[in-house]
Amino acid sequence: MDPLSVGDRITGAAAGTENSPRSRLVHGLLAEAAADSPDSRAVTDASGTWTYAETETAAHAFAAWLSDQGLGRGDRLVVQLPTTRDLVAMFFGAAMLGVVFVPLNPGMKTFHLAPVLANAEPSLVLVGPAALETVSALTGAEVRDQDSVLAEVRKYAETGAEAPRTPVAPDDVAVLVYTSGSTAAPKAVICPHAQITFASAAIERVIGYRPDDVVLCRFPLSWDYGLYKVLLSVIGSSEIVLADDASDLVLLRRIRETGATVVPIVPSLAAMIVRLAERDEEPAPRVRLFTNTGAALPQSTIDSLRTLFPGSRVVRQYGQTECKRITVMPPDRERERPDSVGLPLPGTEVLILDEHGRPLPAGETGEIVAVGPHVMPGYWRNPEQTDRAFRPHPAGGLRLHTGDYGRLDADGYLYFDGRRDDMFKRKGVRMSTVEIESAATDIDGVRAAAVLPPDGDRDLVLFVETHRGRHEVLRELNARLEAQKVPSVCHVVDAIPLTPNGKNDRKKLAEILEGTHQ
Amino acid sequence: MWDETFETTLRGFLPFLGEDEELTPDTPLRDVGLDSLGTVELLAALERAYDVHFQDDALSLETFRTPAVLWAALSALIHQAA
Repeated sequence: MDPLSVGDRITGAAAGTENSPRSRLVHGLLAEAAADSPDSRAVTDASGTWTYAETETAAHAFAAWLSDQGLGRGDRLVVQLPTTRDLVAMFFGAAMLGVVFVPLNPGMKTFHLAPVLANAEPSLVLVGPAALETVSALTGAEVRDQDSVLAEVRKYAETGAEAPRTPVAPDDVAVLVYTSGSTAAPKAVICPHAQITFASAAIERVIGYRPDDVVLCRFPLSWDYGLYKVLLSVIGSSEIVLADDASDLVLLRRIRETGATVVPIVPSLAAMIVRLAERDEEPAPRVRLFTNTGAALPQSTIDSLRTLFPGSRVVRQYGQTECKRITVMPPDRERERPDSVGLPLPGTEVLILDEHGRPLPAGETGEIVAVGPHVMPGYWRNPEQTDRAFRPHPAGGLRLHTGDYGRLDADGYLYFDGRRDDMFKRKGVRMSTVEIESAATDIDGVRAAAVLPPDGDRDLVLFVETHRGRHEVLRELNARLEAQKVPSVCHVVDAIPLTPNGKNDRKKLAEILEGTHQ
Repeated sequence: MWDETFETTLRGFLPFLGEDEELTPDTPLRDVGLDSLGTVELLAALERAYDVHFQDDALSLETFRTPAVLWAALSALIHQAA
């Protein structure tokens, strides 16, 4: 049966049993894969591979250890660790206990780490040995280094320790994903087991991971893009290769060595793969799918990928952490509607609403609103932001007001247009002007700062009022924010132009940049 | 010390280094703005400029850590090609 029959093209409404995940619990998905394919390769990192049975054993050992540390249902476990097999075991092990897994980007600096730890209020924090001292100084919670913890967990694994039986409900929170928002500090999207498993199964149904697939994941688990790749692989009984620590210079070699068939990308990663493949002297690796998200892939990159990797398909997707994924272009329709980001996830609906919340007809541009079982319940301890984005749907439940604008065509395909606020994406990562401006004004000697988001060929630009040098300002900013959020261009100005309302006048700033207004 | 082509090519990928600031042999390239995509593009640019090909085992982040290390790796290739 065609998984996308005519009826669900528009709303994806034919959810039914066919679309229900096998389990509605995150760790249930692993248990099923371990029962069905115990000896299949499950997770590979730089130091080796675990089968599904071994992954399940490692997760149980971690859960047993975690329980002995006194953590239980609803407690938060913060991990700021590299993406390895052990981190995957921690993710599933925490889920078994009903403990909330809070993975943080190893690139997150103190400037954001302090408010994030205060917001998450964890019971336990696991970090790399080098970070033990700095992180301990930021929180009252117990902080442990990964090496000593893993040594203890190994003993649990040797005795075949199992997670204590804990009732975990689908509505329990499984993960908090910290993401940049319209505020200076990151905020956490609450991700319950039910939403995560629904979204994973729905994506898997459209993209179709196979047991013989090898998924090369260049992204950290702290980014939901990486986290869900693990779940999609588990549902497909595929193998996932965690390559977040790998140098991008050897990306192509890793693709070849691991026999990767599926490579999730963002536009900047795709650009690197193209550049590396162009200078490569060996036969092209056998990639069958490049799945993109983060921002639109330029058509030239899509064309290059298809040429350099004969037989590969490029899957366009669109989503937000707040509901994981909104649309996917089915792989077999990749060449149709090149400007569309695809169809709503099966079992979900996309609405286009005007400023009064009224539905707009096909072809008209309005706010993209997602409805369905994938919509998360809100932001962690942030009712104000929650009420703004997550609003009651007349037919019941919550719907996600994305703040993104776009339109649907007559067949229900979505076309992304852009945003009307301060949020944007760069190098696949979501960020806001507010966030970068507040980090810039945190620098000694910077009196005011304004940011121009990327637009077409123009990259992110920072303007500052300061007596300090512009390159010095960028280096200071680099110490406060993740690399993707640091502009490569900074201009020192006498005064940031303001609008009559006292806001940064981005139109004037753009004019300064173009040199039309001195 | 390196030649002018190297200096000019490299500086093009270092957004946090001012034109008036010196590029020393031991400047950590990452601190002056060489990111992942920049590293890959720098590799391709150097290979084009010098008509050489870095082998896989030279493609480590270590090779791109400082100007001195990178120039040493590149000079070895130029020498081989000559």
